[in-house]
Amino acid sequence: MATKQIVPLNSAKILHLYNSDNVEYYVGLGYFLPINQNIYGLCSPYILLQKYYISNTLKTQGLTGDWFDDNGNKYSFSASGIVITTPSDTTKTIELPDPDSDKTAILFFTYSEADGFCIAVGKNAIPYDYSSQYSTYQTAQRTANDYDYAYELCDTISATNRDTYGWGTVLIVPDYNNITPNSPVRSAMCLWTNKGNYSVISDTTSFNMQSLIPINFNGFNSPLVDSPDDPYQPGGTTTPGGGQGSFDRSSDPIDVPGLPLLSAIDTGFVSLWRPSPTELINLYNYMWSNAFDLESFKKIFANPIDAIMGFGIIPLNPVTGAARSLKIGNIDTGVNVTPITEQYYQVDCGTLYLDNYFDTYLEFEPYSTLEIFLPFCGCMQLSADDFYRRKKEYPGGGKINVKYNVDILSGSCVAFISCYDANGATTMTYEFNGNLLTQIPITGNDFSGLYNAVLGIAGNVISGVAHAAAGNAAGILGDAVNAAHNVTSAKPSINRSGTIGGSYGLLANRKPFLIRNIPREAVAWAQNTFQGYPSHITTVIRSINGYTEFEKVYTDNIPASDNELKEIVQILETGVIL
Amino acid sequence: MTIGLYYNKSDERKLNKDLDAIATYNGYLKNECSIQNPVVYIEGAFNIGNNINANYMFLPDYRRYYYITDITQVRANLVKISGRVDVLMSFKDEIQNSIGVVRKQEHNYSLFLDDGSLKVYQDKLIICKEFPNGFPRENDRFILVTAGG
Repeated sequence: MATKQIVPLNSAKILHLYNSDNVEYYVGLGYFLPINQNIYGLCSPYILLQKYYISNTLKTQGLTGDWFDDNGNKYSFSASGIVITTPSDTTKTIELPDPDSDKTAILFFTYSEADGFCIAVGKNAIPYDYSSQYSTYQTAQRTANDYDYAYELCDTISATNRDTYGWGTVLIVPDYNNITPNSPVRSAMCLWTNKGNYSVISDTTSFNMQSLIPINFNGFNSPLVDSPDDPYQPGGTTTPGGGQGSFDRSSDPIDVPGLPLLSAIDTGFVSLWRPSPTELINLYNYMWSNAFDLESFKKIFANPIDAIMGFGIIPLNPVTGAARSLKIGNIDTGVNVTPITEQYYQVDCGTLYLDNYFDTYLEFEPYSTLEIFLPFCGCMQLSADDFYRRKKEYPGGGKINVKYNVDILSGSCVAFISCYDANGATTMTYEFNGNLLTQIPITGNDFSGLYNAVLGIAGNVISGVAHAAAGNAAGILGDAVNAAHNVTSAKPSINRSGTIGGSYGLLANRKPFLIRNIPREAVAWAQNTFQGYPSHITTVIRSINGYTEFEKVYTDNIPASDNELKEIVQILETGVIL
Repeated sequence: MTIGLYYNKSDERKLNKDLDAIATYNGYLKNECSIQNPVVYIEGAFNIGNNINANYMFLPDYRRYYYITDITQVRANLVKISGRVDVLMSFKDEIQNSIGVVRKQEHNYSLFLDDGSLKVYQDKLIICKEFPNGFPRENDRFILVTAGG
């Protein structure tokens, strides 16, 4: 009997696995294993373990439990395949061949590096559990007839030719250390014989299972040839790559944040009031009356105005408590005013549904653009790509929501523009800040500053009117938008001493609005009949009709002359009516 | 050699031509003859007037269809017909079994692909959509911030 040996393929590897009892087993990969001198088996990457046979349904029997290799990588086996858990907890799943597939697959099991055990799965392979066969073989200590199990293999694969040859398909992955769920798997046909010859047919495109990765079958059983000295050699040689993306489309929902938990009101250092006009008049009268104890006040503040930290108009009705006497510093004015009890507010401006106008690529940038006018923030450019969805994937169309988080003490506001992903989950995409507090001057200096600021904005508004006179409708809208932008982007300054900011926000539009800029398609009548629309599908010509242009076409099995074939290809590529 | 004359009503680019049969004749070749651009002769009963619409022919011996490029009255009873092979109609069954990647198609297309073939006008549509809520003027309030409580 010939000495068994393992003849590695170029990229052959063997994996040593240990079970929980620390018993070592071998998992071969890419090995060409001569079973005896005349009978050969080509190992698949799914060479498993001696004790644990895959049943005829490929549902695991005894494959449960954890297995570890020399590097501590954890392996477990499931009904759907082998799950490799790396130390970094990256789970990799290798799908085993579908036993119901008509693609015959051979899994080759090893007990030691010198022996092997074959099992065939697949519809044509008559799935069979070879446990007993192996057990018999093992009992005989592999002295009886190594041919037996190869014989069984041949029997499984080609029952009518068991004495001559068997053939089957094996599955091969090129790089065991980099197997991912999307690893390309190559199928190859192999031939067993006990007649002194064997062959391995590597070109089996008809057994196409997934992407084909070439493996040099001519490389086995031949020594590697050292490359000549090459100064670039340390840098490695070219390798195929790419296509290992996860295609993970999951997206975390980014919600509008909640309001701050700490409020200035809670400190007691400041108080917020919502005075009515009458209450303001009463306060004014009090401050200019003899009842106002200026001497007592000056013990704390140099100027009565110093105690009024801010006065203005906010565009929302704050939450208030029961009216009580307003205090300025420590001076009780006796003027009853409604106190504000909440500093932060959230204003929901509602949701717009953006139904697709075309549901084509014209819906997206750069063809379509999207702007939004946000009160107190201005006119902002959005990306149409963020809001439009393919209608087939998201029938409800794109949704866009605007919420404001507002701090009425400073007037600061942040507008959150949220869109919804294909699964309907909210994904926040934009945040813009602004100020919605219109400060009211309470000194002469403050008023002169406010006056100058208003004069500055007037020029922009006049510019918009000039365009309107020219009859340019687009110009009207554009300038109106620009004017709005200019008005509201002139952010009022935040100054606790009462310096004026801008009142422009109050004057501008108070509701957000979207501005969709959509191209006008120029589609000729029956354009698709005459020149088609972009397709980029692979198909049998018989399955389509109408005007068609091909990027590339195979013209197999056409009994035409070379010139005729070239003409056929040329016509198919330039346009044919099927 | 049998020559089937037809009136081809279809565009040249059409794979399966719509043909009206006109007549069938027996003809012959003179000298050498290209299978792609054959010249056949019909002697005897051929009447050009009766075959004036013939623009297409089928040569069973060559198993090919041809566009008729010219019909020449050689003499009183002899007509020369020149043809150019129609590779589409001649091999339509085999072509239909071929596989290819389609660049453009009349019915089976993806409008999310942009190959630059769709034109747009220079002017654009501008559509404004207002959100349902905002900051109504009725809600405007004075706010007074004072030091101390």
